[in-house]
Amino acid sequence: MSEEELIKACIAGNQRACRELYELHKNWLYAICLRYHQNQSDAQDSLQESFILIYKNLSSYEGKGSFKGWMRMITVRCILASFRKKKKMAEIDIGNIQDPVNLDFLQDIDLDELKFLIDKLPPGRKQVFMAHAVDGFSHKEIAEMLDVSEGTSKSQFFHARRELRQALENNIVIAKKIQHER
Amino acid sequence: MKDNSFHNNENWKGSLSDKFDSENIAAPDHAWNQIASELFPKKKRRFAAFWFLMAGLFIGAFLFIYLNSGNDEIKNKPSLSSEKGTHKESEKKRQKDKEIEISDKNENSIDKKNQQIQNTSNKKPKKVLSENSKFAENNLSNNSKSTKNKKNRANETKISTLSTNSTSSEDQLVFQEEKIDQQDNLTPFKSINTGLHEMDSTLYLKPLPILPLNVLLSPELKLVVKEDVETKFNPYFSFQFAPLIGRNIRTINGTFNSDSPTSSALGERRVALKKYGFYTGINYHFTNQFSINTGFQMASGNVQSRWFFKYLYVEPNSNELRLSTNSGEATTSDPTLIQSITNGNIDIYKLRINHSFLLYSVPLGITYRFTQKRISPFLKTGLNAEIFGKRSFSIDVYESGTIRNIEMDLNKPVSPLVFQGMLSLGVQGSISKKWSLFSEAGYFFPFNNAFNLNGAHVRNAGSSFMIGLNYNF
Repeated sequence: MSEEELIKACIAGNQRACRELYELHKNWLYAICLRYHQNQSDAQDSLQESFILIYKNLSSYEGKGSFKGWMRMITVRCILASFRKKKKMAEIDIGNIQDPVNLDFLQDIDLDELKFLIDKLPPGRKQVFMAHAVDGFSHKEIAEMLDVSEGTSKSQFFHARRELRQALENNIVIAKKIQHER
Repeated sequence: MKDNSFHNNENWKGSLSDKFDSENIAAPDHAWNQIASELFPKKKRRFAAFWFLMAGLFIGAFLFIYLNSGNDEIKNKPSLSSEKGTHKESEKKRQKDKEIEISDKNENSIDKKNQQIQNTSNKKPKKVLSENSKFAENNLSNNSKSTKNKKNRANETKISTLSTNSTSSEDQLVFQEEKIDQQDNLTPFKSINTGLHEMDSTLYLKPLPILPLNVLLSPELKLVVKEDVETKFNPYFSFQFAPLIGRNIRTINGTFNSDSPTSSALGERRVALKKYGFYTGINYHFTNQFSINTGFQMASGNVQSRWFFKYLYVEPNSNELRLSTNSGEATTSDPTLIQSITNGNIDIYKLRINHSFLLYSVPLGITYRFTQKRISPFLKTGLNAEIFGKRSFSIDVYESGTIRNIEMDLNKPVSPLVFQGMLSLGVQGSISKKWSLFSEAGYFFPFNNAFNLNGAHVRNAGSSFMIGLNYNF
C-alpha cells in the first residue's frame, strides 16, 4: 500500500492502516521526541500525543509538501506545547541580537557528541535550539508555540549557541590535555 | 516552516538538520496500544449487557402481552359482534355454524331419544315417567323453538350433547332429566351468544358441582366459564412519594487537568458519590399490570476523593492553580499553595478533593406488576434525564503537620445533561384500598458522556433505593 493509500485508509478509520502508518514512522518520530525530552517516559507520552494528533488531523493534510515534514511539524508543536504548559520560560527579551558565535565546527563532529553537548543545555535553551537549528522553525513560530516573545526565543537561541561553543572548546582543551599527558 | 534563508547563510544548521534527520530510535512496542485505545475506544461490555437485558425484557413483555391477548380473545368472543375485525367475526361465524350443525344433528338424536323415552316409559315407574315425559316435552318444545332461533339452538346443543355420553336408555333418561334441571339453572346459557357482560358470574358457581367430569372438561363449558370472568378495567392514576438514598457513580477516564495534556490524573477513576434526596412521581395504570410513570427526583451529596497528578498547572498571568473538574474549572490563588507547587521536581502531587452537589432528574418509564395480589413485586424500565445543580469544591492541603481546607472558585460551571437507561425492581404492598407502601431499587446506565475535555470522559451512572407511599386516585 502506498503512503497516499495508507493515508486515505486511515482517514476512513481503518485501524490496520493506522497501525501500518505508525510502524512506518514511529522510529524517527520517537527520535525527535527524545531529542527534546530528558527522559524516555516523557518522550513516549509525546510520541503518543503526536500520533493521536496526526491521525485526528490527517484529513487536513492537503498533500502539499512532504508528509514527513507535516508529521514532524505536528510532533514538534506537540512537544513544545507540552513544555509551555509544564513550565513557563523566563521572559528575557534582548532585542535584535547580532549573532557573533560561529558554529561551523558543528559540521565536523558526529551525532552522538552533538547530542551529548546539546543535552547539557538548560531545557529552555535546548528546546529553542532544536526547534530553530534542527527542525527549522522560525523564532516567531517558536515564540507562539512556547507562548513567549520572539525576543525571548532569540535570546535563548543566542545563549544556547554560546554555551555550545564554550562546551566544545572545553572539550577540545580537555582532549588536548589528555593527548599531551600521554 | 523552514527558515531557508537562515539556512543558506549558515551551513552548519543544514548539516545539523541532516545529521538528526537520519536518526532512528526504536519506539517502545506498547506505545501503539495506548494510541489505539484512544483512537479506537472499545465499546464497553456493560452496554452490550444492558441492551441484552433490555431486549430480554421487551421480548418477555411481548410474550406476556401476546399470551394474555390470546385469553382475551376467548374472553371477548361473545362481545366481538360489535367489533369490526373481519378475522374475529369470521371466526365467530364459523363457531356459530359449527354449533348449529351440531345442534341439527343432535335434534335428530333428541327426537330419537324422546321416542326411546316414550318406548321405555312402560318400564319406568310412573312418577319418573311423568316427570321424564314432561322434561322430554319441554325439551322437544325447546328444540322446536330452537330451530327458529339460532341462539337457542346453540344452547340446546350444549345440553343435548351431554346426553350422548350415556349408554343405556335408562341412564340416558335420568341423565336427560338432570340436564333439563340444569337447563333451568343454567338460564344464563341463553345469553352466551348475546353478550356475557349481562351475566352474573356467581350463577355459574352453582351448577358446576353437579356436572359430571366429562362435562366440566368439555370445551364448550370451558369457553363459557372463561367468558364469564371478563371484568372491565378502568384506568387510574396513582401518586408516589419516597425519600431516597443512592449513589452517583462517575467513571472518569483521561486527562483531569484541562490545561496540560501531560498532567493526567493517573488511571481510570470510578467514584461512587453518596446522595440523599426524595422522589415524587405519578403513575398512569392503563391495565391491571402495566403503568406509565414519570416524576422528579432531587438529591444532594458530598464526597471526598483523592487524586494523583503528575503536574499541576499554574496560570502564569493570574498565578492561579487551575483544575478542570466535572463541576467546571476550579481555581485558587492561595499563595502558600501556589508557592509549594514546583512542577517537575517531585513525582506526583496528591490532592484530597471535597465536592458537594445537587442533582435533579426526571425519569420516564413503564412499570410491570407481576401479580395482582396484596403484595406484588414490580419491574420498572425507561429513561432518565439527569442534570447537576449547585456545586461547591474545595481541596485539603497538608501543611506543617496540619490539614488546611482551601475553597476553590468554580469559574466555568458546566451542567451537562445526561441521559440514562433505567432499570428498577421493587415490591408494593397494599395497606388500604387507596394506600400502599412500596420499596424500589434502581440502577441507571449512562448513554452519553457528562463531560469531555482534552480526552477526558466522565460518565455518570447511578443507583437509588427508596421506600415510600403510593396513593391510588
